Amino acid sequence: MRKRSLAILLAAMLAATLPGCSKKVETTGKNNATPDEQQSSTETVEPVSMELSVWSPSEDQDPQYGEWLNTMCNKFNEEHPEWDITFNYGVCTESDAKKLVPQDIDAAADVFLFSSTGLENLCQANSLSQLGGKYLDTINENYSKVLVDGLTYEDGGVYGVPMTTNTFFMYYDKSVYSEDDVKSLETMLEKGKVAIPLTDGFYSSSFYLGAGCTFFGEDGRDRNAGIDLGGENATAVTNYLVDLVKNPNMVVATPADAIAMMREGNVNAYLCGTWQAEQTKEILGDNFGVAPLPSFNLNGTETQMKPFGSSKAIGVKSTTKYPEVAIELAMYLGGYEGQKLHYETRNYVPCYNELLEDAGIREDIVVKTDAYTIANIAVPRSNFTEMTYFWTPAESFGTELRDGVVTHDNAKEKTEAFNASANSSGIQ
Amino acid sequence: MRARKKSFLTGYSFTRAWKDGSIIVKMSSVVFGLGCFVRKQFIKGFMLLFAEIAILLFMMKEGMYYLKKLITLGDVEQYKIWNEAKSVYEYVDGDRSLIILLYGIITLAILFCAVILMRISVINAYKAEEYVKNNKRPPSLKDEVYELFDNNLHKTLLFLPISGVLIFTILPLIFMMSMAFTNYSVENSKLVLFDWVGLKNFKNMINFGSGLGKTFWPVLGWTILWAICATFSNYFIGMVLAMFINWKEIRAKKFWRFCFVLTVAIPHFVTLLILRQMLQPEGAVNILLRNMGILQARESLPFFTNTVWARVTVVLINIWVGVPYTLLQVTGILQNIPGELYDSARVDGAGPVTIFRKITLPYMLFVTTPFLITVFAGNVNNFNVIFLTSQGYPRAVESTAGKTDLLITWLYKLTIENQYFDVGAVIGIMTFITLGIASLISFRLSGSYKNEEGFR
Repeated sequence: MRKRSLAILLAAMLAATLPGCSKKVETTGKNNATPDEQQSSTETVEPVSMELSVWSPSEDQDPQYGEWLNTMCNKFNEEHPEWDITFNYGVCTESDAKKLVPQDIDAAADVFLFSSTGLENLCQANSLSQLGGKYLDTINENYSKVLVDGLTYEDGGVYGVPMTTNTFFMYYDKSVYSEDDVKSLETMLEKGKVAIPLTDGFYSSSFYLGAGCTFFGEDGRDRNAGIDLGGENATAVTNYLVDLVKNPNMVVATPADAIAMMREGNVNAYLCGTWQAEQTKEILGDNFGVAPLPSFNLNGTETQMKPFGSSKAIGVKSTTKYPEVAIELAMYLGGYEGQKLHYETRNYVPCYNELLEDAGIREDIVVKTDAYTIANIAVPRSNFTEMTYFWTPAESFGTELRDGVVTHDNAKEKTEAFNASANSSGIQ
Repeated sequence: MRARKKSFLTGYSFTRAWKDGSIIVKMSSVVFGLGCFVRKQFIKGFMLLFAEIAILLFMMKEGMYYLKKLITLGDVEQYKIWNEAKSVYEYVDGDRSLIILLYGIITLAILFCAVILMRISVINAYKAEEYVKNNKRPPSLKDEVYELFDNNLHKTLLFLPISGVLIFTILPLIFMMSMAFTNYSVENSKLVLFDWVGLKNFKNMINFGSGLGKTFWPVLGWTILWAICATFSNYFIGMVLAMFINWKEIRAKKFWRFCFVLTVAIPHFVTLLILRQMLQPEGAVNILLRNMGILQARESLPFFTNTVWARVTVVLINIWVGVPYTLLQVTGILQNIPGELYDSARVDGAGPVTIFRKITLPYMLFVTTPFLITVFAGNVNNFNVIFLTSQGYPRAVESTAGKTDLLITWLYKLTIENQYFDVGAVIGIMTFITLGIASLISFRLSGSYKNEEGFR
């Protein structure tokens, strides 16, 4: 309690001294410029000074990628003369938000980007503000129902402004593969090198999902169903992967490493989401190709690899001192202009309905592939906290696959152990 | 113990003050500084009284609230109110167990200070009374300040370090340790409001049957094995190296020393990260071996993927980064061994091995046992060498800790990466206990403890 009052005091002192001065100078400058404005400025009330802190991934604040966040925040400040906002920027990736925001909520940002899969974590820790009234209406009006559903918590409240879809597909070198080649993983491996991050459950799960394994039911909303990696099909996939890692053209590498290998020409295709589109375009130039995940040959049947699909959203901290301003800002960042600039600077696929109808954006190959993946292939990723149990064993399992510890002989037992661990925290 | 003995000798203990003191002495325990006021030690009395009033005010304003909440660690949930005008939900903060725990412990510490102040007040009142009884003038503030730089100089000198340790080490330590007795963890969403659970976490941890116990014991075993291997490998290799360089016939001693110490010039973590990269399945070492034809095309040495290989690798890496330090420390001590000892040994016909066994090693061990214990403790908590190289791998699918994970890296993974703070606190306490026992036993058995004057 004491800490908070001290923080308020400090914030108030800062707000009173620093920005107060600058704003005054600005208004006098305007007064001199035009007599018309002088008239109106006598009527306007002194703007309310405040400090807002905003968190986003570092690329969104990087001048190299257009400083999306800083640009949008400054614009927001200009568009609202009634508020005089000093922004504090912090770095936090969408997936880390579920940990970093609840960890010290007093120090956390008022507005932050988060992955919809962290929704339950954040809501259980009382970290998110529910949206209602006119804001909720705007959201229902302008975003697809699937996305809004993904941001709806058990209590029926909507807790975030949709920002972009979150899934992955494949980038490839057109000089190596034709459009037909990229439909089958086997063909691809014959013709060139493919990087798949098997050590990361986010990517390796696409094989299991393709073969019909489920994570909390078909739509990720059945808590009791748990993670199902138990059947014959799961073992079949493990056996497939054992052979796959032996293929000389198969490279186990994270997207960050894969892009470096691609630059050197050691990788011709890799799996990733929209967030590496810009960099890949730079490397491949005219040969830049994007395609949905290929299918793989599982014991004679062509099986489509299926990625997880979820969304990224903008959230407002429940304990923020200025809920109205923070929500307005979140809506602005996730609104038409915000998503447009995010698309232009970082190729983030927009999800604002009006933007999606924009011909230029609709024809973009990355947007097209992403939209196709979400609509036809992707499996909704669960928002349950139990989903987090999956990542650690998946990482271990992927490493064992890569290192040849998992073999055809022990594939069955290893898959069963994987299944058991994925359904338990390992801490009881 | 020693303090009590001393105040007994000078005749001013609390119990004696309580037994023999007048009503004023006894009243001084309620009104701090009363005894001082009566004996006209106004400044001191005022300071004591002021401290009491400050503590009382704090207790009334916040202390009592936190003490009461500390029992349950809070139970008020956050709730929201719909604000139609602004069209937003406004949230009213509920209790937050972590804050309550922190401030509760600070309140307890302040209460502890109050008890100490009460003792001071009573003893002072009694002391002044005794002075008056013996027809002496009670010491003035000036006298006592003067004493602080004379007879009581130890108190003046120790005041800052001790209060620093209490505030910045002991208090946070108690705070962290108390988490071990709660269920503060992401499990069952206990991150905002959590409760006391007593020894449940400890039982879980040492239980061989539970998932946690199955991980804990192997990790503890490897931690101890690692600490022993890492400590002694560095120690002996560093010593042998230093002895070679010290050899009479070796020329350009300074140059050789410079060569080995050069690795110190590169920051630890840089070396470790580079080694990690080099030893990957597709890393430089494996590719080099393939090019030389020693390995087949897609074969690689399992540096971090086979349990035994990984464990040996991290010990070897530790030797690489650690030996130069031992080399430097040991060199100084080696040069300190009297040359006559060696000369007479040689006259008696002792070979180099005998000389090492009978003279060098005992001398070294005698001088460096306390140092070895510190190194051992450092190795138990050697986070960097593990976390930046093997990252705990290889890791079985069913375990949260890998085969090369130490308690400290496992703790990091559980708390920072997975938010199981309660379990983390238990591991921290367990590490402390392990270290405490190991250090105490080895120090007690060492020659440097048994016979301080011993080696001549």
